[in-house]
Amino acid sequence: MEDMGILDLYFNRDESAIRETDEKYGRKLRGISQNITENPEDTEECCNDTYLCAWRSIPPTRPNYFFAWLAKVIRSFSYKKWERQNAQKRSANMVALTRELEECISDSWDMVSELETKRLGASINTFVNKLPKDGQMVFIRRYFYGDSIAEIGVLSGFSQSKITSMLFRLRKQLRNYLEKEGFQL
Amino acid sequence: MTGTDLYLAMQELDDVLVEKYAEVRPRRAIPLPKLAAACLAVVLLIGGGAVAVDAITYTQAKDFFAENGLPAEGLSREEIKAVYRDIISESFTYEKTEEVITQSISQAIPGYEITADMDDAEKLKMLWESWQNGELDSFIIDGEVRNFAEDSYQQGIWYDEDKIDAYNDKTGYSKSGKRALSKYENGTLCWEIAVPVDPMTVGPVGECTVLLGKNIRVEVSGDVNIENNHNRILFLDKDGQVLWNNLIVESEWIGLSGGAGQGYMGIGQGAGTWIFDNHDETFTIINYDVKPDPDNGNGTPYVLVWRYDRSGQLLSYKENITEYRLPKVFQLGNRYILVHAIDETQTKTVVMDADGNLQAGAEYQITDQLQRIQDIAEVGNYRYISAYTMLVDDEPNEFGLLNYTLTQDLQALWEQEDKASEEELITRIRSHYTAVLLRCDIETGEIQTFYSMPGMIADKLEVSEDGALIWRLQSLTQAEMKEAPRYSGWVVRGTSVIYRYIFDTEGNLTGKEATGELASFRW
Repeated sequence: MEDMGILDLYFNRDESAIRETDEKYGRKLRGISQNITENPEDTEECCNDTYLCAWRSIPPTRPNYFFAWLAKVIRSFSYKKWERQNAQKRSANMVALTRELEECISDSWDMVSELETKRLGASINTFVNKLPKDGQMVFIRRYFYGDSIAEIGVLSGFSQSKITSMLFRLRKQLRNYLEKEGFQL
Repeated sequence: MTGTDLYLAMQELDDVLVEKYAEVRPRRAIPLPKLAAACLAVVLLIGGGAVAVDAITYTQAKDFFAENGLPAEGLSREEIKAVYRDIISESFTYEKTEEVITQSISQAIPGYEITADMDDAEKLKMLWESWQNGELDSFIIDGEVRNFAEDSYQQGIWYDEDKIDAYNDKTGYSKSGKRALSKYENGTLCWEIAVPVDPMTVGPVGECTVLLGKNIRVEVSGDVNIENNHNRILFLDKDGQVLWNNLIVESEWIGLSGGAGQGYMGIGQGAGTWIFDNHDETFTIINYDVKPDPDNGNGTPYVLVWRYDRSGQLLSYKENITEYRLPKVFQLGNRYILVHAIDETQTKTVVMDADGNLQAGAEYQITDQLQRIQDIAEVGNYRYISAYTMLVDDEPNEFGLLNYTLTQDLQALWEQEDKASEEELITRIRSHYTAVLLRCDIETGEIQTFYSMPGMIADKLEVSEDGALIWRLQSLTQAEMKEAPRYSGWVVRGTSVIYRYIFDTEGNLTGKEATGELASFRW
């Protein structure tokens, strides 16, 4: 079913909206969550929370890009779940991801407000938009979807060493870009 | 700042980019060979099923009745067990099963009548499955109670991907060919045809049918196969014969995307695509979608309009006629009212002719608050808009979204220790709704609230033969809060009574009456 058809189901308060969403996007959404939580039960819970959020927010919200909207919601829920359980058991993938991203920033940078996060997000967005297609794909699959290097290798057809090297260069470029944007305080 | 901050900031990535690289993960290897696994599954199913059916106890059957809301009154213990056995074995041949299932549905949806002849086990099985899957709710639409026979597989146009084994394609645009379209009227199959496209939406034009669909054409260029999406329009006569089959104008815009999937096609109103009979031997197709835009992460909404005559001649084509999202279109004669959503709180309506020309001076904005437009009608110099408003949160939630306060209110009711009474539930729900009748001066575009009814939900508008405006309103009279295990939440299911408010040509309220009709309420 088309996204607009699924959204119409939400607007008509038809519960089959959830089933249609799950059939169309469930696998992809669970993939995102699993990469963060690394726990099938937590993934399922985040998926349910995402569907509940969709059920409660649509209407009045009518996302233009339904999957992207769902992906951001489940990413947020999964991150919170990971954060809560972080003290007990750390997800190796998330630890690796956030460590890699730390290479792009300086310890002295201080995120003081939500506004600052949004400004940072906007700058990253501009940076990614300017990247060539391969760079965009590798960066987004790694740092938005949380894919492993091996998984990106399968998707892209690149060798793992090439992807590792691409990501290293991209992080360096991002660091330079953010500095130019005035993020170094 | 930490790497986590950066990770979170990636939430601001453009939606277009997120979707662009949303590749499906490769499947992991299946440990058993497919055939062996399938055989094992069949053996387990058959074996397990037989044991389960034979070992039925009265307690199991009674629990099943309770879980599924099946009425057991007047049935003996043996009959209850027999109905249970009949349903779980999917036989649906036991004489009492039909009575139990139809009674159960009628009790759950007051006023719902099943008039279809259910003596056929297959039909009864379909009815049961539809009920179990929650699909029966969709048979109550537009505030009118419809019967199952009219809206089931026995009526309308249906699409099936596996019905016909092969489509002998001589034109070179169909690859798989296992697609069939069938039309039923009053339970009788009128026609069934193989279709060379992935159907998207259908619309009636007189006795004929317009079918919009897409297919993939593979073009071989050197060693490379290039797959291109093509959109096609087919015109079918009353017997289902394809009178013509044309490629739809290609443009820089994406055009029609997606597909219908199998099942009932919902004549005339596809999601984002509408087909309207202009009643002058022509028809108009309106398509709305969102195009990826590098300068705008939310993409650029666009609307395309085609007008064809019945012989397949394209009379006009307009693209990108507006810049807003288009959730609804209403037809008034051979003109159309496009209801745009500028954002969550602003609606803009624009009048367009059948060729896609916007009519000067006819647009106006409704900016009060969240309003859902239900219908539009014209009487004299005025255009009336039936809509309803709902209360929303003052502040957006953690995802920056406005939510209806009804959800929070009902959540509080759900969480409280003592279950809310039905009366309390109804009162709470009603307090969030206000039906409004807006009146717009067609010439000046001036718009004002003409009538409002707190606690009610606006429905359709009608114009009587003597020019009176009839405003249909829904008033909630029955409601129940249920658990929704699929997303660990709750749903509210209820029934509203429909009233008619009648206004004379001067706009004076001259009467109101209950219609005796019911509409379903869902939240």
